Amino acid sequence: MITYTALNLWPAPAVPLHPPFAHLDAIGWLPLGDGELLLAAHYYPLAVRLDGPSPVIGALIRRDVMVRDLINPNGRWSGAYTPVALRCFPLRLTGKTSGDPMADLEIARIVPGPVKPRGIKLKDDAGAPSTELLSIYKGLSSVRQSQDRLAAALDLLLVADLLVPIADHRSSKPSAFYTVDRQRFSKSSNHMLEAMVRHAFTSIDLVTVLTFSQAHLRADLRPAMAPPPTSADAHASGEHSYGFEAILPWLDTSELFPTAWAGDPTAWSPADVTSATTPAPFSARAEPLPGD
Amino acid sequence: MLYERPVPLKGDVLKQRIFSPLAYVNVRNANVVGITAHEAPRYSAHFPIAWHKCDDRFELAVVRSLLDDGRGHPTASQSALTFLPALCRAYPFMYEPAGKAEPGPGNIPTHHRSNFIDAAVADAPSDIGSPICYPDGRPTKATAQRIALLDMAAPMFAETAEIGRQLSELELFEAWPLRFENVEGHTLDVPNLWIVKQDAIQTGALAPVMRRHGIIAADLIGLHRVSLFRAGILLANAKSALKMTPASDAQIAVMDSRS
Repeated sequence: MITYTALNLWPAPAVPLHPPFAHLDAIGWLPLGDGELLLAAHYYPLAVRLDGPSPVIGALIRRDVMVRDLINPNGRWSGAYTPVALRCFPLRLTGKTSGDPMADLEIARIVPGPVKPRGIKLKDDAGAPSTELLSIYKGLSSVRQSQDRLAAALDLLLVADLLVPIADHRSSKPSAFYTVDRQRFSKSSNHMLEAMVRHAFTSIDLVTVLTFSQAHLRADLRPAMAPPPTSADAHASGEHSYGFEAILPWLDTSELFPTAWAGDPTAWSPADVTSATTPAPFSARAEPLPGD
Repeated sequence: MLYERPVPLKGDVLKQRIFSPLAYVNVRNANVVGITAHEAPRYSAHFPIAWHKCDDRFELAVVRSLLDDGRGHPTASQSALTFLPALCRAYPFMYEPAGKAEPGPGNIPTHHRSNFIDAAVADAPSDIGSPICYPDGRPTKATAQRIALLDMAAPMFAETAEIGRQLSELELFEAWPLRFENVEGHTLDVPNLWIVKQDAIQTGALAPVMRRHGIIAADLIGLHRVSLFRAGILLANAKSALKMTPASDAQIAVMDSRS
């Protein structure tokens, strides 16, 4: 468990930006911006938290829930994509923001890891927040604004009763993290789906990334899947069916692209927060994160 | 292109032997292969899924490589049957000569399915293969399995084509220029790819598609969007392949120009 201190109570003129990789288990879960969801789903199990005033979506990074270790045997980062919130660690936003980075940011109280931290000045020579601090503040604020925008779409998943807890049978504590029950979603009527996308496709995007990313969850934490119906069953019941699944089993995502998990060892760069714009999939329309 | 020389499945053709799909260079090398919406969950974690425009039709397809000479594929996708799209797994059998198939339900009547075979030579057979038919005219197991796969896929292709047609009618596609300049001295371009417009995502424009096609379309469009991020892996694979084995102009047909 990591505790945080208000940044304006920080006694020194600079803060150490520790690489977060020694603290992944303690961090546990990170909020994601809407521009990060589609890419992050390829590398992390995504989960919704319902323990705040409104639902928020993010990535689980605890080793005990993932099928793959984010740190390779050589101690190198293998997460491939590093979420904005992780790049900004050990800083995070407080609950309410005022526009003042010194008042709105908190810093984690952690034991320094083996890697020497990179220090950043909090203020420039004129006493204003430094460029690097503003960059981090901007990145974290962008994620926060995304969360506010996504809350309404996540509410739709709650209304449709599609979210189920990620139940950890090894723990007696109730889960704070939720994912989509694929079986329930597959029974959605056309009218229900039409209603879900009447104003935007976002809710279906969220269903997609939550179910798609379950491949990264430890198998026993995934919602149970029904056995695929046979073609004859599907015709008889009139239900939509992935008939191919009977003959083409679902693939393990790890086999085709081992290099995808090697990651870019230089990917973590606290000064590079503002480059975490919408990671457009090589579209000619690379759009920045709203708010950037 | 997956198919080279489709011929009717009759007469002396029935005396040919067929081999594992991976024994055929067309299967191993095809970089854009048509799939059904029902296959999207299977491939979206590995390859970009987009619509490939052929004439006026938008065909759902998986992009397996930026190169069409057999390089740049993930290794496993060329060595394991399980990674092949249904059309590849049914190879060399096919519905009809490429380009003549009409999309839509009922346009591929049962008795016309699988009545063509691609007359390509298996350049890398791993065994002695199988005849198409037994001497008494019954299809062999290898033939029956592949034709059964095509029969099973036919209504799924029809439904997939309907989704593409509706998206097109609603003008919800935009071009996806999968083009990269100066990759190891080459320009890579996989042309005629289309994706669902970003504007359609941010508005309710897809509601009519949900009303008509429901969960199949919801899954397809969601997975299509997720899958586009695999283009980066294809680029890394292509770079690596070009660095290791510089290709001749003739080999890299997909490169339409040099930077």
